[in-house]
Amino acid sequence: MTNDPLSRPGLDADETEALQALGWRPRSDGSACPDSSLFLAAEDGALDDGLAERVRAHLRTCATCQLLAKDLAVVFAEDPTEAEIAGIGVRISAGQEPARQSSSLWIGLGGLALAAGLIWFLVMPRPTPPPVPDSQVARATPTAVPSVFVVDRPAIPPGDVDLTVRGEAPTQVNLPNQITAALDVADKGDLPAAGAQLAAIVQKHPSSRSAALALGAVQLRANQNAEATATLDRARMLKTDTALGDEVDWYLGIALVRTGNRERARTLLDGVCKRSGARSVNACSGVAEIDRIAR
Amino acid sequence: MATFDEVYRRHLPTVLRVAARVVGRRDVAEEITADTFLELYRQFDRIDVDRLPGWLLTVVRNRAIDYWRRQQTERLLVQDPVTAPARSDTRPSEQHLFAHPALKPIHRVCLVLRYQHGLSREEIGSRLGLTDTQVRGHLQYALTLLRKNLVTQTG
Repeated sequence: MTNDPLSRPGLDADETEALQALGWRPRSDGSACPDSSLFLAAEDGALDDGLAERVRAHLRTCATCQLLAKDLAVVFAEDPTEAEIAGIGVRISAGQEPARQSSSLWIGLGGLALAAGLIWFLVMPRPTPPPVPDSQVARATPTAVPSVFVVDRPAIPPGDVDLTVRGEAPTQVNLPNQITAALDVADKGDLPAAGAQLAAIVQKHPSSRSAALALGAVQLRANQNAEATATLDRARMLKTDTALGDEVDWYLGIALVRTGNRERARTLLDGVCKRSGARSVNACSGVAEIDRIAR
Repeated sequence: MATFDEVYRRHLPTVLRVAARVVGRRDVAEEITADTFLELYRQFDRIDVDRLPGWLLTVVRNRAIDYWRRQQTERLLVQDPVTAPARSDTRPSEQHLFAHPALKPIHRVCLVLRYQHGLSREEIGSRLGLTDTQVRGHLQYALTLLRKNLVTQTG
């Protein structure tokens, strides 16, 4: 690695200009510092004694890494993000030992390996109920879900073009066409394939509400109710297409009914019911059904 | 008696935070957290919930130790810091930048990892549980903030 950060590959023009303007003069090659993931592990006793002592010795002499360790402790103390909660939920729901061997592969191959593995576990049909929070009741007793909560095809509006492509240069992508094609696959009955397509789209376009909505709907059709709840909760937090608000709330309401959270489902559906949109009639029937069950 | 759901929701944040510290990155911490709760699920009938979160954190710690045993730690150390040249040559300008009081911890972490440790934005995002866009935003904000402050101070 070069000693001069300004000549490192991967810096864009803005970064280079900003660093030059700041008169950035590195003390030394950053590669001379241990990997930062070791810092707090050394403090917390997760490393063997010899390794921990070598890391601590570095920290005693490197003011920049001391600062970094202190700041990492603050950053790692943050609450889990919605994406992290969803990711953990998906892994648990897969009933899959988190692939210990895959850590380095994920790191090495970045999003590709993550997407490939995760997508499959998102959509694969499972013979046994997975141990995911909230999901067992619905999977064990699918007939308990009232028929008023029919999962049909979500309405995907045209024009939801997302320029945010993780790990790539921004490009114009016609997302509605891609999502519609995946929903066509679902309509033909191949839910795992449709789910895989949509999970890949969500992975690549994390800010697209349409994609998350479509994935959640397909997960519901596959009776993957906990996964659908996580996906649709995430879609609900996205504000990229406000016209989809009622559509997201409707499907999330179904997911919540299936996972036994009828109180929150009722709140969401009551809102959709009162807004007199395209899902209003469905939602009002849903509220009535929830109240009937409660009685 | 608490259900698995209740226990999961109550202890998830703590387990993830501790896991992130002991493996030093949020993406691996996610795996370990999921692994830990799967273990709890399998043994839930036999676990005294009053022993939580201690039991969970013991599992996290054991998983972390396993993780570090599998890592090529020599590669992560890069060079023996004990025999490295003394750091008394640290230039004031660098510490002045990194330690600038206007920077928040997340900004400084992104700056140091990117420009001192030479990580890509994607790698920083994986380690901190951020999207590429968020990392880019933190870096841009931090650089702009430093430029403004330094211009004010020197001007």
